[in-house]
Amino acid sequence: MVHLTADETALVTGLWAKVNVKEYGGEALGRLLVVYPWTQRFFEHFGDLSSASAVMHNPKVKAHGEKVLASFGDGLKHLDDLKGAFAELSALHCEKLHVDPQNFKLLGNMLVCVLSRHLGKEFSPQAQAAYEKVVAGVANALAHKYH
Amino acid sequence: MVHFTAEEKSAVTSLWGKVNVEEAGGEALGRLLVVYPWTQRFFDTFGNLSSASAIMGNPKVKAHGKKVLTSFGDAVKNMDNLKNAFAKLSELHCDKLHVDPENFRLLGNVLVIILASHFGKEFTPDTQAAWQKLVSGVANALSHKYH
Repeated sequence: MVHLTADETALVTGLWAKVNVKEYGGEALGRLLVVYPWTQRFFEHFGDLSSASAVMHNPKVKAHGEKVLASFGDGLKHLDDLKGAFAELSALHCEKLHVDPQNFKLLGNMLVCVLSRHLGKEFSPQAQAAYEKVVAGVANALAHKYH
Repeated sequence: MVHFTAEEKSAVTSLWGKVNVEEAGGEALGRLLVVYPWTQRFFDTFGNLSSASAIMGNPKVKAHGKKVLTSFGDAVKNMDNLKNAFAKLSELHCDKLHVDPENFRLLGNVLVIILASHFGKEFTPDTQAAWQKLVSGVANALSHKYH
């Protein structure tokens, strides 16, 4: 469970309202595939991932990135019970997708980076601290059903 | 040893040329202390670290941040030989300062986030990938002399 103060929760939800889920989701997933190329192994059927430019423009990457970030956004509505909110997705990632849970942390890092890139000064140290708590909580929740 | 392509070296050095080391250094160290509060334990002598704004405004944090990032600048000049470049600092951090090497990775993450924030569009996925390789190489070099 993530413990956010009232101020942190306000920061997280306030900034989330400015997030373009479609654009940022595609960018976060794209950057994951470029910066940590081994993650491409989960997306072999996505077509051309042969260069950073191919990855970032790949329509399947963009669509899947949007889906992933929308799911993250749903999680923000359940900060008191992330494990419950992500239970099914956790089981899916373990049993069907076989994703090493370390990759959830890497994607969380990418998301924080994308937020920083787009929000600039508005992504204050306090905002960063709050978001890092949330992405760590989501990563833990997604790992929770692993066996 | 980390291997950088010519393009990666160029991405790193051209961005580095535009970094205000004093400002970015203070911000990086400050954000480390805010986002990962346990790191404050190494800086008990720095005075007021009681809030994010106290930390970000603290003159000792700013000065030390500048020192740390100036030293990081040596990494940019020695990308092919990071372990040697940081051998003495590695020993210092182990033998005298007793810093858990995990903290080097955290500071590296914070630096990437700050670069994203300052450089926006210019912080392309390829540039990010090169920088993440560098900060990871520096963290490894700083851990190398640990015993």
